[in-house]
Amino acid sequence: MSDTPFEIKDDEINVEEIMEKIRENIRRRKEAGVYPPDPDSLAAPQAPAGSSTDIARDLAYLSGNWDIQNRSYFISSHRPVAGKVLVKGRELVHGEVRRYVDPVIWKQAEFNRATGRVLEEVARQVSGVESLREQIRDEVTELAAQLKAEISEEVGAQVRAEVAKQVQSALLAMDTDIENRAWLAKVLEGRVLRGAPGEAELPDSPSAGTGLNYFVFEDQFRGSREEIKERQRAFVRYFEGCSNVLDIGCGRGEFLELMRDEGIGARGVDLDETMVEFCRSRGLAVELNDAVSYLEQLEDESLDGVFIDQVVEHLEPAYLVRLLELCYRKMKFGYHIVAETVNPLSFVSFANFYIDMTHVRPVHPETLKFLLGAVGFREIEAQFSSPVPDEARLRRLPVDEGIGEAERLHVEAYNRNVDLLNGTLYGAQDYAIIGKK
Amino acid sequence: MKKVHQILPSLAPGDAIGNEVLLMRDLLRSWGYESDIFAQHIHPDVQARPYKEYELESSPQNLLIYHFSIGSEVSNFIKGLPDRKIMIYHNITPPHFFRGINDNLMFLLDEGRKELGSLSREFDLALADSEYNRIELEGAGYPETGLLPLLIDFSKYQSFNPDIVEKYSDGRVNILFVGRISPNKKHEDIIKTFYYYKCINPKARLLLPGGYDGCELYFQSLRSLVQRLGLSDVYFLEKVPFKDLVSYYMVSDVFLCMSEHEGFNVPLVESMFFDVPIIAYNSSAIPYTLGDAGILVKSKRYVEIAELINLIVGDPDIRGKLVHRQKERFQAFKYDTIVKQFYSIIKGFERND
Repeated sequence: MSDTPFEIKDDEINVEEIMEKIRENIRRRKEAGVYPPDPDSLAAPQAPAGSSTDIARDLAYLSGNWDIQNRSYFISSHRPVAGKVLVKGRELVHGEVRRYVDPVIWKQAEFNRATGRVLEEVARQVSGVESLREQIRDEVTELAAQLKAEISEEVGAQVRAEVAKQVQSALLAMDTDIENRAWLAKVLEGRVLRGAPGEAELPDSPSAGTGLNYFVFEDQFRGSREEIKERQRAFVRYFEGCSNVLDIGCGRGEFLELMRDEGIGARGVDLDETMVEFCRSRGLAVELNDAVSYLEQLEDESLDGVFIDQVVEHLEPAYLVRLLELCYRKMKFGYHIVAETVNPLSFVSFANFYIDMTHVRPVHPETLKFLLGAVGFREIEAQFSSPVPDEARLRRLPVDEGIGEAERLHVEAYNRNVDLLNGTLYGAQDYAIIGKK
Repeated sequence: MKKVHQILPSLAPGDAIGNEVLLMRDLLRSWGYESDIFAQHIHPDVQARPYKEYELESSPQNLLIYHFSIGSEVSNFIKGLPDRKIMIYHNITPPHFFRGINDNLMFLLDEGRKELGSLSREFDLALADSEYNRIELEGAGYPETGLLPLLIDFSKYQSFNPDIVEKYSDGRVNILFVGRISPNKKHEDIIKTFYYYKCINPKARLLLPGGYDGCELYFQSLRSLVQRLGLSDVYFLEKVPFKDLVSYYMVSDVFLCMSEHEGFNVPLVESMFFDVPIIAYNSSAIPYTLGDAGILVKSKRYVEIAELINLIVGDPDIRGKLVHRQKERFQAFKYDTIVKQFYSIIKGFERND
């Protein structure tokens, strides 16, 4: 007999030949690495105790072995004569024992069966839940990926739109800036060509003779036009319903623009040629003139509001008094004058007062109040504005509830001092005196 | 002799013994005998009488056929009966296969083995459905032994399930084994062989119809083996209707049997009937049932068996020769042939009257 592992009892089939082919195929496939590792070397993964593998095995054991009833016992005897007696006797004993034992065994078997069934059902349901969980997990993963893709697309679009918007507005701002500068350059160039400022017999503008272009100076130190407008918005209420408000020293025309936005008729007068041209370029009614000269030519009681912002600190006392007198004369009865200036009561603004070289002297609020009253205005009030931000002020101590009486008194005294110092050093930077004719 | 009855521990339709018992009853009745079936456990789908009722029928004039395959009260019951008796021995699976899998079954199989010895003098004739079983009977001390292959009515193998035939006739190689999921049948070796075959031909599937009642632990271990090997296309089809079973034979390319204990193995004969080339491991009754047909595997070297399957599937010449030899072998199990044998055995008792 050959040593082939197969036996084919058919002379028509050459087992040796088949074996040769098989050996050749095995050699070839082994070389090509076709065969997987030996199945017996793939040891069962070490399942932790109580894992599902153990449970499955135990469940299988339960369903195979729940029935503990003994059905194979049978009473018999091979003895021909005594056998019958023996059988009867055994049957009697067996019957008695069974009466007690059988119900117990039966109950136990039924209990086992029920337990097995319940556990099987639970396992079945758990495995159902497991597969459902897997399914849900897959679906959620897929949805999350989908959502992510959609969101990134959407967010991408939003970001692109936002960037485009920002770029657009930055470009617009740059355009405006370039426009402003080009305009300024043109104006200055024009002036150089003309060789002299305006031929009119105007008093000098505050910056005249300093070689300083006040427009450029304001652009850098006063703050942006938007900021100025925002600050001046607080005074709009005094001119509601008016139609002929005069802005004395209107500068870059922020207040006039505010008035125009609110539908209030207003015009301005300024001594600085650049400023006036700038305002005019924005369509604002502004005259290049000295305030006093301008007012003098107006009809009496023709104005229904006067706004003088950051002007009085540039004026000599006599001129200021004259200006206020004229304002009073040219205003209608029952209308307001608002004069805002730097607050010299606050050290910080007092110190900053000299940044502007064209400032003549700060005017004390009480002085301005007095002057307004002296020329005839009534219901005079002062409004302080532009507070120093908290982080730039001296800090108060918090009053803890748990502290002792003496300590509380100390803290209170300290805070009172801080308040006083803050008021003196870091008080409101501007103030306005409002009067009514 | 007017009455030839049959008695057995358990009668169920669909299993090989149950089928034979029902066929024999019909045959006996058709030959003019009064014939009933007596059983301890009777499946609700079949008609039979409780075995204890046989006390009323028992007579020295009767011939009683005892189908023996497992330990039961029936063995003791028939001991004292005055009837002439034939045992048909279907073999008893050695209990050791079920260690750790089914204690009850182990006990009953062990009892069966003991009963086999104690019953040797009770029968006028002990028939075995295979030579392997007959040799066991001799060894157990039975003086009169004979051979009667299992009675299978192949006229019933006509109807099939077209859905299954269509589903599995897709050009893939279908490897089949039919049998209960039982540890003696060694499904794990089939799976391991398939594991290698899949690497040679990924377009293959393994069809495993067969219930696993009482062998849940074994079934569990097979499933985890499949999982561990990362194998796809292994179909545990469980207990299938007869029509489906026929369909699986129709679509299969190879029948692979790795069983280490069989008393007869009907699926081998079924494979012969359906022209499915057989590769079977040489154990117990397998070589006797195969005769000179099929391929007998002498050692379980999975790679070689997988290559052998590949060769047979791809070589119509070898395949044709194998099928031809199987057809010849099938003649030995033809229904009419076995019926004649059975008839002459019964008639033999008649002559002794």
